[in-house]
Amino acid sequence: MSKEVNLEVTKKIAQLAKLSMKEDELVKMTGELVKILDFVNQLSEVDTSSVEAIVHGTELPTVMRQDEALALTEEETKLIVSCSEQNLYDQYRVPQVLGEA
Amino acid sequence: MLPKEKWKKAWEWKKLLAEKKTSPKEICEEYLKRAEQDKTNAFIKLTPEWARGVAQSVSQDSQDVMSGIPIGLKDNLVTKGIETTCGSKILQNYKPPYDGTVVKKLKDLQAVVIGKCNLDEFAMGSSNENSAYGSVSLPQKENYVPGGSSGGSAAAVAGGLVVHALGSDTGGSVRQPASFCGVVGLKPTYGRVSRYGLVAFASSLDQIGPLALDVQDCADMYDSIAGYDPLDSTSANRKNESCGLRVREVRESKSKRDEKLKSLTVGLPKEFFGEGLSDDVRASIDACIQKMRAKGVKFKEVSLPHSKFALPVYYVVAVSEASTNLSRYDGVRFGPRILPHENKTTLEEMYSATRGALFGPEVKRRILLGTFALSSGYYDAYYKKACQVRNLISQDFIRTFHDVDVILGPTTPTVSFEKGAKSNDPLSMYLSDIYTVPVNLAGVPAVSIPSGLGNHQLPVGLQIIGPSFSEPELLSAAATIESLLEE
Repeated sequence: MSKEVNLEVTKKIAQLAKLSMKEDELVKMTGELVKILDFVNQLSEVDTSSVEAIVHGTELPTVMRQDEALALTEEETKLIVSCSEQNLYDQYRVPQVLGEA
Repeated sequence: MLPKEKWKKAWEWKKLLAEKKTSPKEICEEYLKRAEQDKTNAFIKLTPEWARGVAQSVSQDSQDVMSGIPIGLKDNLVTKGIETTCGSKILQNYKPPYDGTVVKKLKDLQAVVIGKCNLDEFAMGSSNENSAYGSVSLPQKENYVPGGSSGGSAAAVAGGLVVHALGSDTGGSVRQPASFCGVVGLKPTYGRVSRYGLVAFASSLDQIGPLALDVQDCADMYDSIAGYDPLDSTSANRKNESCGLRVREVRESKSKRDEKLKSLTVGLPKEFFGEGLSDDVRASIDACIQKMRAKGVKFKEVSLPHSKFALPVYYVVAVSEASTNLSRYDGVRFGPRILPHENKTTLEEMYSATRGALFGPEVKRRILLGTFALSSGYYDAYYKKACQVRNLISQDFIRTFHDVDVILGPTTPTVSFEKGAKSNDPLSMYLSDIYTVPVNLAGVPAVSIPSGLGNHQLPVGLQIIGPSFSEPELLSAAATIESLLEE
């Protein structure tokens, strides 16, 4: 049994992942996470002391470019911002961030 | 009966068009009619206006293999001004401001897009039961799953609702549904097809791939979408040789085909024929091997010793990448938002409430797992460890391809299963992808072709795996095997 995950840990991860979940959902999720992590823990059988970690299957060059900001046209801005249900004056509307909500 | 015996392939339609026996408009109407009457829920949205617009303008004599051909697009491929939901409530009504590279290519080629195909939410699933827009049924048997996550794309091809379709494959999501539905599905080499405009799930594993009735159509569709794209920083800047031509060669000349079979050395990994493989699938694959052996194909037993760790590696790597990629869905820039306390809601509360309410259970499970694997104190034990084992899995393939041209085995351990049979046990669902996941981790290309029928007369898939960037050889080998199985 994976000892690393319990209900408290799941609650903490859900908070980090910004997922609001009800208690019963968190309890069910905890049980499933424990099972999956038990399955994943078979990786400890593999000796990787001299193995390099890879993040891609194929060898890929690192692509570099200048960090230049590209200006969007007014039309492009409108198009992008309009994908949000809440927009005003070609900007995204969000709940109040500063001060008391 | 396999779908390819029931429905016309693209190359057959092109012949009829050239002979003036039909028109793009007629073809379009025939497919739209079937798609409108579909009972498998293969589409999230039909796009009849788009389809008819193209069908009316496309030239009858156009030589291109895609022009005037009805296709489907998995709904995680962004289409300018047309809803792209990823099977999720969090992207409900989202109309992207741009076309993905593959969509743009197919538009330029005048393919007729019939609709956006259903999928497991954010491509996470193996049965297409995780879609917020309802599950998809296997066209051959009601109440059975078409596989996933490109279940809608596979069902649309198998049900004759489109001629071919695009899916995406992160751990088997093109090949596994292709196998269940009795069609051909290709996962290209990582970097071959641009991911620009494919909604990201696990960026180091995702590849867009075609689903088609036969290897010829699959190769033609692949040729149409492959190639370097500066808009995808992981796109491979390499020459693309036509796969369609290579396949046509073996299809049109029996002597060339037999010559090719005699020169083929095939590896059979013992790990793909062990415990967990059902008897009907084993029998079907064995029968193919016997047929190939009789034609002079050389077989070698090979070993991919670390492939048994592929699923545990996948369920660390894929979920870690997913938890990062899916952090962009916050209720601000795309789709709906949830404000639990209306005007009194804080920004943080809006993020959590929106994500908590609008992601489905499988997506939340994977985000939680990924967040855990990347969290302080567990990163080395999980993420780094998985990336190291991934290297060993990749080395297994590189070593094996020194001795054989292709690796062959079953695509999935069983044929399609009943809806609901595995939905309460995530781990047993994950096992459906046991033979497909190692391929994504290694980045190599693989194709699933129908090998025959198993239990309940349901299709069995044969997976053929090739070295990186060997698509022309891989698809031409697949075409020789396909042709042999038709005899």
